[in-house]
Amino acid sequence: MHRLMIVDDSKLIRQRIAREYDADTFELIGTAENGADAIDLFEQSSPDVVTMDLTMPKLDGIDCIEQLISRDPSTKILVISALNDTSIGIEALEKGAMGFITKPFSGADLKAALKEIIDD
Amino acid sequence: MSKVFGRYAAIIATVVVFLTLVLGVLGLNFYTSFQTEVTAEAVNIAGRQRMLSQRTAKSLSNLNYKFYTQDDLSIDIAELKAASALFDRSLKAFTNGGETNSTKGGAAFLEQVTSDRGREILSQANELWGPFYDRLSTMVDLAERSSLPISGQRQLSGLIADNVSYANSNINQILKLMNDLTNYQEGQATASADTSRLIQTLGIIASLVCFAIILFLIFGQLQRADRKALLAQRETRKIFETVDQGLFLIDRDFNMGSQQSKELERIFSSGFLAGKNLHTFISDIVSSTDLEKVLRYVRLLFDPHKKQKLLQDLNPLKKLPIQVQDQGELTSKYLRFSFSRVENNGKIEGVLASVSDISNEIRLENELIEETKRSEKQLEMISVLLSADANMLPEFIKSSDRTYEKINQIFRNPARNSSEFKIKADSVLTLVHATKGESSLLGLTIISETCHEIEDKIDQLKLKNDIGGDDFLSLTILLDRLISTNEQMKSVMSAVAGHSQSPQTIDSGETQNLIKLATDVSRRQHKEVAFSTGGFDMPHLAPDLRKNILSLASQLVRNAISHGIESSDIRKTLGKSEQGSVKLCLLQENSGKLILSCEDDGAGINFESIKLEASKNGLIKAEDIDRVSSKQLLQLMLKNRLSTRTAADADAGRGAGLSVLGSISDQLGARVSLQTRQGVGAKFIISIPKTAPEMATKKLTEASYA
Repeated sequence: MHRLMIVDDSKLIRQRIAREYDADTFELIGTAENGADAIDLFEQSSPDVVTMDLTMPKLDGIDCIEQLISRDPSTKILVISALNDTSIGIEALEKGAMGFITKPFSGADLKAALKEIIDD
Repeated sequence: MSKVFGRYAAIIATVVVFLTLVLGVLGLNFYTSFQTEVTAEAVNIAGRQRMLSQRTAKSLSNLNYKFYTQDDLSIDIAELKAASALFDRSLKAFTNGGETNSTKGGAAFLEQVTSDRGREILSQANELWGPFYDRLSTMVDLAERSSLPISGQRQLSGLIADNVSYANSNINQILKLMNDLTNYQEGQATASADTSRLIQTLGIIASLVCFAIILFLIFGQLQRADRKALLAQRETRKIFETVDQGLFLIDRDFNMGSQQSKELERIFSSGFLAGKNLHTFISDIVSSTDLEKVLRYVRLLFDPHKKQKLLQDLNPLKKLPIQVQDQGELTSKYLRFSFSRVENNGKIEGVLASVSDISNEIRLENELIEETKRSEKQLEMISVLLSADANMLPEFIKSSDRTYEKINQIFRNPARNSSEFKIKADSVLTLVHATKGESSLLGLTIISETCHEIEDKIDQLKLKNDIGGDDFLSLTILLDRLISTNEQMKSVMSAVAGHSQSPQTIDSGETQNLIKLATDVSRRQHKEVAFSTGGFDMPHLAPDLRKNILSLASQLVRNAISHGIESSDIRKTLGKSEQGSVKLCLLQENSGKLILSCEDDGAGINFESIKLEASKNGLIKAEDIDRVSSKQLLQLMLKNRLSTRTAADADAGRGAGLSVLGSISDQLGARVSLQTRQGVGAKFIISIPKTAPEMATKKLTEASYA
């Protein structure tokens, strides 16, 4: 069972991800609505898989990825962003993210992307 | 591994045989040299036997002499004893195999002589020597006794005489036999030396043959490998020459490989790119920000933890517009780069980049988009036709047909010089602009956008220095499009005529059209506008008058939204509400006079920039610039094309809007007034006398634009 944390500033998206992930493989340990909360939650519950929005208040996704990876380099981070820009994708991967999907996404997209990063 | 072994099996086997032969020859050599030593010793010992037989005979003769002279016998006895004993020991060793004294001191082992000839010599020798040695031993034993009685003396004398006589008759034969033995041993030695020499020679020849075979096989192998490599190289070259993609490899240091496909040179119309650094190569075709992005992307490709599939989605060079020199001409192309890893045993060794020219794909894609847009507009036109005010459409078609005819006339008499052209161009602009306004009021986007295209083209032409007939060509094509749109509308209208309602009912069609116009313009301008309108349901107005009032109204709305209302970002920073407001109102006073007003809470009219624009266009003199009043400026704006907008679009920016307003107002005998405060808003008020001149529409199109 992988421990999953959802980070997104939109409640709707958080609910959507929580509804779509594969419950046989993942156990949701919590959700955060900004980067700073995500760091706190990460330190309390040490998830191994994280879905990460990029544009968020307080601490944005790129910085958040960097901080999570510095705490645990084995963390598998899937970026879910509305920014369909290759530079931001490249930057996220450079900081240590393992996967990247863009909003809007389908349930199948999410499942496939999550499976891909844990299979690595 | 086993494959490699298979390929070289013959060579390896031959090398094994070669080494075995070399070792065999070496071993044989060692054995032969040992054997030669043994044989040489046997020859020496055989030779010594000859000497010993002589010494035995000599010491026996001395003993005989000394016995009679009664001298001391001891020395000769010892000599006789030693010589005969050694002869006997050696002869036994030859006969039976065994040890004897070596000629070099120490012991020597002799092999038993087995050949017939050898055994014959030895048996003869033993026959003669055996009894002789026994008698000599008895004699020596007796002679060694210290005091012999007389009888003993006599017996010894007898024994000596006996032995001397035996020796005299046989010692020569023994010597001869020993000589034969020596010769025989020498013969044996020569024969074995010959054999071993022969074997060695054969061994060396075999080794040399093996060595030659090895060389032959190795050369053969090398030749085959070379041929294969050459063939592979030729194939690779052929593939690289014919493949329709630009292919090259990138290594970890971002150097481009030495092998590249011909297409790469064709795409970039440049010579040899091999060995160039990716950095240099890409920096020639992309901006510096993109360059950095590409390099970061390629670096990620070398990171084995990043999935290739994911990276494909992030490829920043999926669609890259570039400009290249092709036979001296600058052409633009669209390129697609794709990158894939080259792995060996799971290790990323490089990245294969392929470049394809996708200009055609992009062109088709764009054409498809255009086509789709056009058909959407056609569909939109049909829906407009079906829902539009049935009174207004025929009016519009009629008046626009006349306008197009006028434009055609202008095209038919092209200008002789550029000042003439500019006058004609302005007339066309005014005609087209009016049609644009009317069509967009009716929601006929397909027409208003074509009008806009014509305006753009004319603006571009006006910038050119010399204008030829060809320059009108693209304009006539657009005009044809407008004309055929009208034809289509007519046919659609006549087709639906049977189904349409009575055209005489006046409903809120105008109001709806105005609301739609305001919505469309604000959407195109990306502005948020609350639009309110009222008073347009005036069924008793003459159709011509109503049409003109609506033209005025639509110009006012478009001006207010495009020029007046600021973007919501600017409004926010100004402390205004994000949504702008435009109020359009038509009312009739008791006197019958119509008042059309349009009020917005936008930026207001900046008379200072209008002044600058006007003085730039020579409409006011520089010295008058401070004296000109805002009323005079308004009149200038109504009579001339003045715009402070930097770019024109479908809604505004050429300054034709206010001049259309001005000319329609003139036709209607209306008065335009303006109240404005910079940063707060503007209100246009147009008072139209109830009895507007008759046939206003006709005059509008014929008189005011001529």
